[in-house]
Parts: sequence; structure tokens; C-alpha cells
Amino acid sequence: MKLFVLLNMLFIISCANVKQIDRGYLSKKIMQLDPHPEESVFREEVRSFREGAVGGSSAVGGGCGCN
Amino acid sequence: MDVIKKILYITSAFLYCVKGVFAETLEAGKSKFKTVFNFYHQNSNDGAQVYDNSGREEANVVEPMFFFQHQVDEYTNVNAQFVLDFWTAASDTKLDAQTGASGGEGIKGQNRVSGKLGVQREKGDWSYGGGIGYSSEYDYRSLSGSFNVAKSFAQKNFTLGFGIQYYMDEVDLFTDLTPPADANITTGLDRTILATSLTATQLLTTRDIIQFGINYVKASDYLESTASSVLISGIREAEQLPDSRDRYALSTKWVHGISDISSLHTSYRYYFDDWEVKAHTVKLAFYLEVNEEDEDYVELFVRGHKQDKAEYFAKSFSATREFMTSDSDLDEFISGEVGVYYSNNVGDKNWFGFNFENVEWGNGIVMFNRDNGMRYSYIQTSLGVQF
Repeated sequence: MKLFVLLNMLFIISCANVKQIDRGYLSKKIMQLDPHPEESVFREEVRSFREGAVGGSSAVGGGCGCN
Repeated sequence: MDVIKKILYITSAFLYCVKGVFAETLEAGKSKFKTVFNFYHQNSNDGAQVYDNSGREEANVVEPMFFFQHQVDEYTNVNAQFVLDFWTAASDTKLDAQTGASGGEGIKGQNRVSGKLGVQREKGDWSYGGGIGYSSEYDYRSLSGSFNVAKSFAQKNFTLGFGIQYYMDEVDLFTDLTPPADANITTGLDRTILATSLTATQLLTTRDIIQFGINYVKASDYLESTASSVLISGIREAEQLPDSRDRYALSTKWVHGISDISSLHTSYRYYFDDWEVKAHTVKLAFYLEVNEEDEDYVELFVRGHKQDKAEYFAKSFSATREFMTSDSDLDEFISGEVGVYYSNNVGDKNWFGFNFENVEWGNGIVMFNRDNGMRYSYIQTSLGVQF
């Protein structure tokens, strides 16, 4: 239920549009959610094995390559 | 039966595929290739799980990674990832050297081979794709499949995404550690991992993006680590963990453009699981364009992490319990991480008679320190080309 309310709130917020023509700055590399996703693969892999926590990234399984 | 299950699994997974790590969409017919070389060094004298009581957890890893993406048409790309690992780890080496459990020459250098193959399609407001993956190392084998779908609303101001990954893995574990002569490695023990994620991304203003995420990971079957042991009244035995772990994470990220050439990325994650690990993680990353035309940039980041210990963790035990671990990764600790990365677009190049576009060279270093003794650092160097 809480999830449903949260998603609805986000949907309502989405009425505040940024027009396509105004998105030039948002398309810059430094404004991407992850500007270097390939490097992040290793970063997240290391963190997932050296911390007791996972989530919010792609590294959850598939072996370690470390020990 | 297991073989048939795997074949069916791989076949069905081909119908889907992994979301490629390349974020950008290329022109139809174009390809991108990128290599990332990682050089990792880890050190610690406080790992209570190490078999010889030395606590030493040093490890050295060299990991070259190769990424490829080809844009088949305006809407579809295929992508692949191939990873090699070469490493030495004191914990494995000490365990095997003292027990001789692997039956041959003691474990010294190790390696892993890993690959993923995927396809991604984006048309209109919908994006979807999937992939399959494989990984193999001396004590671990993994088959995986994944699927993702995203739908944009309000002229792509708001995007809702869902992803699912399934790992069907096998692990080899040391058993009967004391006396050392009785130790052996039990091979082919099952481990399955189901990971799901739900993300909501909103363009707030012409300079602000916000994202919320919910993750659930279900790990099942043999969840112990190969090299982890516990000390029970002075006697070393293999760690024992439950055959199930439910893991949850709530995360948020805010990307804010400070000026025309700089941005700040702020993220927070709250994590909890049914082994009573709770964790807070905060990261701040500052990006500065040093060449606006080529979008060369420098990244500086700091990351803090605080976690409670798992309910089964202790540095030593006075009596046998049903579940026991001394793995320092499951201990209570606070950690800090700092890093710097520089991305340099050197333009178009002609090498060996081939024309490459948007040649991008990246270099970075990351340093990490945990207050329970562990510290590591690594260097990353990458080269990406389009053709």
C-alpha cells in the first residue's frame, strides 16, 4: 500500500514537465545517473563482497573473483 | 536432471537478455568497444575467519573487462561483456595449504572467466531487454539470466523500471576442517539468487534528476564462503549459515547541476536483511567538466558505509551453534571510501588502418578503509572506441 502511494506521488510529480527542447544540459555526461557504467561494474562488485549489504546496484551474484 | 534443467534454463533465458552497461544509444550500424583494466590490492590482519589464526586477508586481483555493443537498427542493440580475473588470496591459500583438501598442489594463483550476452530494445516510451551470463572459478560456477523493462510517462519526464536477475550457481566448500588431515572439498553445492529491482526516475527541473529504487534479493541453499572458518574453543571448523537470506534495499539518488560545467550526485541507501544486518550508505560525487567541447571531466567522490553485524557473527565461539560465522564482511563496521576519476575524449583516431571515433581514455583510483581492519585500493584504466 505504501509502495502504491509512493508510486502515485511520483506519477503526480511527473506532471511537472521538462520540455524536450530544454533537456540539452541534462544530456551531458556529468548529468547522467552513472556517467561511466563500465567502471561501475567493478566498483559495485568489490563493494558487494566487502560489505554485508547489496542493492541499488547490479552486483548481487555470479561469483566473487576475490575471496 | 540438473543438466536438462540447465539447458532449459539457458534456452529460455535466450528469449530475454541483460540490460547492457552502455548507457548511450549509438547510430544504427555503429559499434562500441571498451576495455577496463582493474588492479586491486587488499590488506588486513583482522580476519577472524582465516584458518591459521593469522587474520591475514590480503588479496591481489588483476581484472581486465571487455564490453561490446552493436546497434543493429534504430531501436535494437546487442551487447556483450567478457571478464577475466587473476588473483591470489591468502585466506584460500592458507586453508588449503594446511589441510591439503584440494588433493593436489595447494591453491596459489586463481582465475575466473565470466561472460554476459544481451539484447536491448527501445522504442517509443518502452525499453526492454534481457540476457544470459556465465561465470567460472575454481570454487564457483554461475549461470544467470535477466530481464528488464521500463516505461516512460509524461514525455519521458518520468520513467518506471523493473528488473529481475536469476543466478543458478554452484559452490565448492571445505568441510571437516579439524583435524586437517580429514578436511575435504565438497563440490557442486547449489546456491540460487533471485534479485529484483523497481526504480522510478523523474526529471525535476532542467538541472535536477531524482531516482528512487527498491531492491529485493533472495539468496538460497549453500550461502557459506569457501575460505571462511570459525574458531570453537580453539578448534577450527567450517562456518555454518542458514540456507536462506532475504535482503532489502531502499535507495535514492539526486543529480543536481551546479553550474554549466559541474554537477553533484548525492545518493543514500538503507539496507536490511533477515540476518539482522542493517546498513546506511551515503555517497557524494562531484563532477567537473575540464573541457566543455569534448566533455572531458573529473569525478571526485566520498562514500560512507555503516553496518550492524549479522546475528550469527562472532570472532570466536565457546560452543557449537547451529549457525556461526566469523567473516569480517559480516561484522559491525564503519567504512570510508574516496576516489578520483578522469575521463578524456581524445577525438577520432586512425590506428592500424582502422578509423575509430570518440576515443575515450579513463583513469581512476579508489581507496577504502574499514574500521575492523580491512583496507583496499585499486586503479582503473579504460579505453573506449566507436566504429
